[in-house]
Amino acid sequence: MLWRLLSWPWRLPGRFIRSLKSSRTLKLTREGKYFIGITIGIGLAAINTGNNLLYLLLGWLLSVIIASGILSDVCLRAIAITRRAPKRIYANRPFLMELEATNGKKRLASYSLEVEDICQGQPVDKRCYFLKIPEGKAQNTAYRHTISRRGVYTFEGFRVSTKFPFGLFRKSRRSKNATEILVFPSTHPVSIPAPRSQFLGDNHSNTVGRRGEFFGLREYRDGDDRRSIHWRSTAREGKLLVREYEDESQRRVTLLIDNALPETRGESEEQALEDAISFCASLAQAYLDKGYALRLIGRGILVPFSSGETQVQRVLKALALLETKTEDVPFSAEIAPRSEAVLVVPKGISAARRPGQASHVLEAP
Amino acid sequence: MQFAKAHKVTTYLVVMSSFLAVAFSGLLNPVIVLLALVGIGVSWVWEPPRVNFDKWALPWTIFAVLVFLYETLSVVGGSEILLAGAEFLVTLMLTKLFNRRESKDYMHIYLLSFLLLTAGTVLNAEVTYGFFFLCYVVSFTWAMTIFHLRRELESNFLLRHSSSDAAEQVRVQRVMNSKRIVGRKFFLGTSLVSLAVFASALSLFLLFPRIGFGFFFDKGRGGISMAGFNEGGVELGGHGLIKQDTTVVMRVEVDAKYAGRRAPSIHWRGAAFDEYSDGKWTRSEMAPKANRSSQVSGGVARHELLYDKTRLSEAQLESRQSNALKQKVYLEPMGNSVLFGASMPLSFELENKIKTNTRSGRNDELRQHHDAGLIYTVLSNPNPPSAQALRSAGTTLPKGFEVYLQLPDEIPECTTPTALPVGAWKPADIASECRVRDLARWITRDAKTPYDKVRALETWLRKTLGYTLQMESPGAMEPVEFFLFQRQLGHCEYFSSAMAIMTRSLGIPSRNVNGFLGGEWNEYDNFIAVRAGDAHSWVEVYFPGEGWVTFDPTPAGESDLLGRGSSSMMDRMRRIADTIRFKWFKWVIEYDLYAQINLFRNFGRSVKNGANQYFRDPLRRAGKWAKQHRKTAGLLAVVGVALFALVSYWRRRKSIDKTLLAPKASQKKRSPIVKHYLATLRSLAKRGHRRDDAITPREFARDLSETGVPGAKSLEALTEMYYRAEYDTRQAGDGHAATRAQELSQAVLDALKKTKYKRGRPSKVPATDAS
Repeated sequence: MLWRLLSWPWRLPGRFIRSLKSSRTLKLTREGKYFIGITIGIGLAAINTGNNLLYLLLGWLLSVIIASGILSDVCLRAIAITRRAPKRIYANRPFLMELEATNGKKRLASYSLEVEDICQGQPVDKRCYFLKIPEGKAQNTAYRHTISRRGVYTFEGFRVSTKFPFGLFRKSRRSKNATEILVFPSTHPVSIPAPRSQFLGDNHSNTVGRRGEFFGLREYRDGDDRRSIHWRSTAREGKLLVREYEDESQRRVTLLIDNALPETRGESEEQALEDAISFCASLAQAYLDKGYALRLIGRGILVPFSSGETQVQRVLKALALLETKTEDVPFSAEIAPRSEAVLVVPKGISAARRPGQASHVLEAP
Repeated sequence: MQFAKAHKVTTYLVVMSSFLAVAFSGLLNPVIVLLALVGIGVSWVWEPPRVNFDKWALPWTIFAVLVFLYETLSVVGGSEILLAGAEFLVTLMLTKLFNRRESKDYMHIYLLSFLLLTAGTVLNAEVTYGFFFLCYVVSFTWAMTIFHLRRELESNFLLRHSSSDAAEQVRVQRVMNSKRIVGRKFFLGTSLVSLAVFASALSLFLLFPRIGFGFFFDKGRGGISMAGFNEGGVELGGHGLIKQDTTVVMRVEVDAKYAGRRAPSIHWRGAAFDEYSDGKWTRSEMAPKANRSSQVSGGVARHELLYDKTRLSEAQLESRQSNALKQKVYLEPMGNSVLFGASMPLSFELENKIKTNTRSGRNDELRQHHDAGLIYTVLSNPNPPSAQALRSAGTTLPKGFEVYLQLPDEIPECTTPTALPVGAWKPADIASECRVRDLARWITRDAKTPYDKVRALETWLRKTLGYTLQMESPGAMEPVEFFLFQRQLGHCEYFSSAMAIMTRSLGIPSRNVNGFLGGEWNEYDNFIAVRAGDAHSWVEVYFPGEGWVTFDPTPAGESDLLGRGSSSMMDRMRRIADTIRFKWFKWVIEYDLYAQINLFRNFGRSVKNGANQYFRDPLRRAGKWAKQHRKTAGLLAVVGVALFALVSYWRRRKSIDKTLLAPKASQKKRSPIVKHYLATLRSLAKRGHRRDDAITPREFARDLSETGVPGAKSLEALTEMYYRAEYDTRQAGDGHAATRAQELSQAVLDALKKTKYKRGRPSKVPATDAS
């Protein structure tokens, strides 16, 4: 304590520089503009008349401005915001982004806070409002947001602002808290085409095998075979972990997406590809829901065979990040003869080097 | 307190503070004040569901318009525009209180209250304004804070969503009824804030440079309606009881000799009169004008009163000021321009303002017009010349001093000499038509010099006649004769008039002086409070060569002591209230550029003295000691520096330990293989191949391998080692495995370095990109 007191003068310049660097902004509200106007009017009247009571009034008005600045600063101080995104976000489908505001101050509550999430440099359209966050406590709220296109979106941070205590000024502070969010293509219910194998008389096992290639470890889920539990890892991690194997006898399907567009392309072609990607994602979801092992092939993209929830995640991610190619880029893998393969092509767009062995060629509706 | 109720209460506090700040000026129509108070009370309960606001909107509008017309007509009829405006503001505020539906109405109420408070700065300069201003500052902070929260709440939960959203309506209602938002802690906190705001306002008030120009206005406050002192003249012969008015007319800070409750009383000289006729003292046209010399320096105008001299040398001026009594006078606006000072005043110092218009009156008066009180400094000579000097005074009167011998026809000269009584005196003993003159001669029958005669008259009046505040009409009699020969009781004006007339009848020039005597010593702020009830009359007698000398023939009473009435609780309370009022006028109402400069100067001096006391002097002493004990001082300095360095190092080390050196808990026992793997992951991430949390390390390695990322095969091998190291304790501590892991990590890095990447682009490229 004594040391803090003694070293205070040395620490002051550093604090001052930090305060200059801090990204606070101040904006006048409509009431604030009137207030400033009144203050100027009273000031002029005081100077003109020499009436000391007007000087007193002027002193009070200026003090209110100063107090407003200090209190709003106190409100914004030690406020930490974190966000929690849902596991999957689909294009054109509203999602709830959960925000948690924590007041790290030990003695003072923060009032009237507005939090805006900053996405791609722009605040999202909804603000979250916290009326009061008591000292040392956290409060949660959520905002609803819709992203119209698949891809990677960066939520860089937050703009926390307050008009507390008098609503004369809006003071804002930006805090960095970057999160990359992957927006999957929009999906909708589709029916899968009748499999070729049905006509060829292949025999399929409906059970999940245990003796395929070791695939990895994952957390135990209800219904998992207890023989799959990897006890050593379970003991190490303190939670049940099971081995995953690729099931060789599973039904397999290869989804092909033609992500090639002509060099000279317009918005309609772009949209057609987006629709195709969305349709492909819907098909993948439908296949994987039915227990298929699925792989995805596109120009410059390959997601190997797998099934289950993890594969849904993998395929959707690949489709979310799928880039438009030109038709000289080949598909990343060949289709095995007589295998089940569905080629999804953008509507009304023809392209070279499409695989010919696909059992189904579908255009996005 | 419930949120909604807290808002209502604080809003009404704001309204009441601003209204009372104006109402206490006493200038508003009492009927309007009363109606407004009743209206504010009724509006408290005038709200839904009792009242339908829409139904009453039109009547209230008509009422406001009617009041507007009434106030306009009253202004046309000669009423003050500011007063009419204030009354109309009160009406508008009432209208809004009866129609407070939404936040906009509350905002209007606050604005109107502020305008009313602004009007109060002109209408009410009393300390009551200061009190209600403080109330306003506190309540405004509460009200505006709660109002802001309420408006934000409404806009965030109602306006941004559908207004028909019942859930949000319920939520807002729940918050409005909540007692948790504005509790005791909230009010305590905002009170502290508002007090800080008030303190800051006072500081800024003191700091604002007082460079007022006053082009269109001049500050002023109402004068005191006062009995007892009249600058125009003194009239004898009234009847009834003279009121003891306790209104303070001036406050005086004096030298220590005259400070305190037991100090001798001072005659505060104001106006002097030379002509007496028909029972009235007036200032004649023939009376000499006050001789004065004036000079301005350092923003201060100094006026030297020369009395019977036309000029004095610098040395003479300096010598007469050497033993002078210095007083600082805070004069209230009394509706006249007389400057008061302890008798006999030698010089007056006033700030040389733009509008300074100090002028000489007759009979050695000095005048300065003022509407808002005045602060000035007076130097006086409280000690009259010695009796010996006065006895040997000359007899030649200066030119024009004959007016001080004037006597009216009602006091005639004796046509035939009258035989004076011998021994004890009775009124009936002297019955001639010139009995006032005869009485004077009889009283001074043994006196040889003018001074002795005057002293004899003063003593006789003090000892023989009685003092009363109960006046009785003299009827047709000459008032002084009535006083001397019939009633033999009177107040100070009778005594001074009788003495002045009798001295004049003896050929000694004299004049009647009006002012105040004594005052009440205020022990809380060390000043003399002179009240209207201290008004007094006395006599000045002229002795050629020595000047005017003060004589007071009124019997000394209780009122002569400054400490009058100091013992009772009521008097103490009154003096405390007076102290507050004095402070208010001294530091707020009359605060100006000169007071500001003095304040800064004193502050600077205090800081300097404090610095000397607490820093320079101890440092000097320490330096002296160090010179005497060089070795010990050197040793102490070395030890001090070493200690400082040690503590600094220790603190720095501690903070470094905390932040950098202390390993993270998760890294504490990690094997070197894991470290190599994590380092490789970081390098990959920098080049755009970031592993998602959802992907296992093995999946990641395989994805990279399938998409042909350079070094992927090495990464696959490293990943397998990582799995074993992380989940199989047998690998821990294996030196060979660690080396192999390092080699693999290096191989991945080397492969990555050989590949060119576009800046920033790979971060968006999926790990499965084969291109």
